[in-house]
Amino acid sequence: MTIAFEAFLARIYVDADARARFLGDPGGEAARAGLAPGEITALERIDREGLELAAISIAAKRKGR
Amino acid sequence: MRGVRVVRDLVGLGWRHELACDIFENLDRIDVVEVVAEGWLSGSRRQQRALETLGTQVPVLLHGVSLGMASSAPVERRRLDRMARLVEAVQPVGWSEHLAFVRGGGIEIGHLAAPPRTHEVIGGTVSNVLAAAKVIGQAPVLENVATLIDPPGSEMGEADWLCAALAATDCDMLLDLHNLHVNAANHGFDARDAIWRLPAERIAVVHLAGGSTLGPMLLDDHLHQVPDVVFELLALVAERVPRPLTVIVERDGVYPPFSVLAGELDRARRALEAGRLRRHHDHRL
Repeated sequence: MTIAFEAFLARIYVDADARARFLGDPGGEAARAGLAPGEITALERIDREGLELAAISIAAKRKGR
Repeated sequence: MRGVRVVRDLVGLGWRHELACDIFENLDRIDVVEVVAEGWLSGSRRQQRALETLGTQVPVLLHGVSLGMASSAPVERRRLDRMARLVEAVQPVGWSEHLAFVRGGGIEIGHLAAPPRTHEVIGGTVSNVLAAAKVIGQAPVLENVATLIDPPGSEMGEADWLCAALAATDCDMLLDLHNLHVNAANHGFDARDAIWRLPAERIAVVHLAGGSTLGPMLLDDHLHQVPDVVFELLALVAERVPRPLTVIVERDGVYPPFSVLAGELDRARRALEAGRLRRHHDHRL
């Protein structure tokens, strides 16, 4: 996994709009971000419920700072 | 140099400004205090002297939360320099960081994110640990993090990844038992089995905390009392680990009367004693 993959994760963890676009078309969004085929496959298999809950938790942390 | 310089089991508390008076009034019940480094990195000289004064009263551990050690991206030098200056000033018994990434592509996540459990990330972590050890003078003790999402792109499970990361970095471990407990419950593995698989000789520090729920998941929020199961896991760790352990109770808000926190420190001591006793009598070890 690359720095670009981590950057993609950071964006969908904190940016609700980016996350919604991603969940609507995981493979497409990952491909448009220029990620490698293995990374695209990993994102197509993402734990969607875990992503939503992680985003809620992260948002609460960011709000509490 | 690595690890934590202690010669016996210590039980203490995470420093929070809200607990300052209680901590100073109860130093006879607190063996060690863990301080989140980021709260002091940009403080005034006077604030730093206050931390140095704390260090003359009780052993201090420094705990970083913002370096992003478990990442393919290199840790920024300016962050390491600031941590080095604080370590030099405070002379802690050790310092720790998380096996997490905290930023990417210019975005600050604002939280500890579990990285993809891959060999590539371990390679990045090794580079970051080497850079940190060079600048700061000692390698960090590395902590496992809680995660609500199974990190995408992972090539291995949590215990395997922790073992591989510790072996590759040659670092000691801060084992957060509540993080392990919630990850086990949320992602379907056995926390006790994971403890048996981790390299016991590398476990130097233990975190205890409490949590709540978020939907169907357990959440590590540090706002509740340490649950019984975490004390039971501490006893198992004490049974397995041959070296002195430094145990820290973390509480980040909704502070109870100090007697409640002191009671948790006492329970931690009893769990340590129970585990040590089992270790003494267990011929398998």
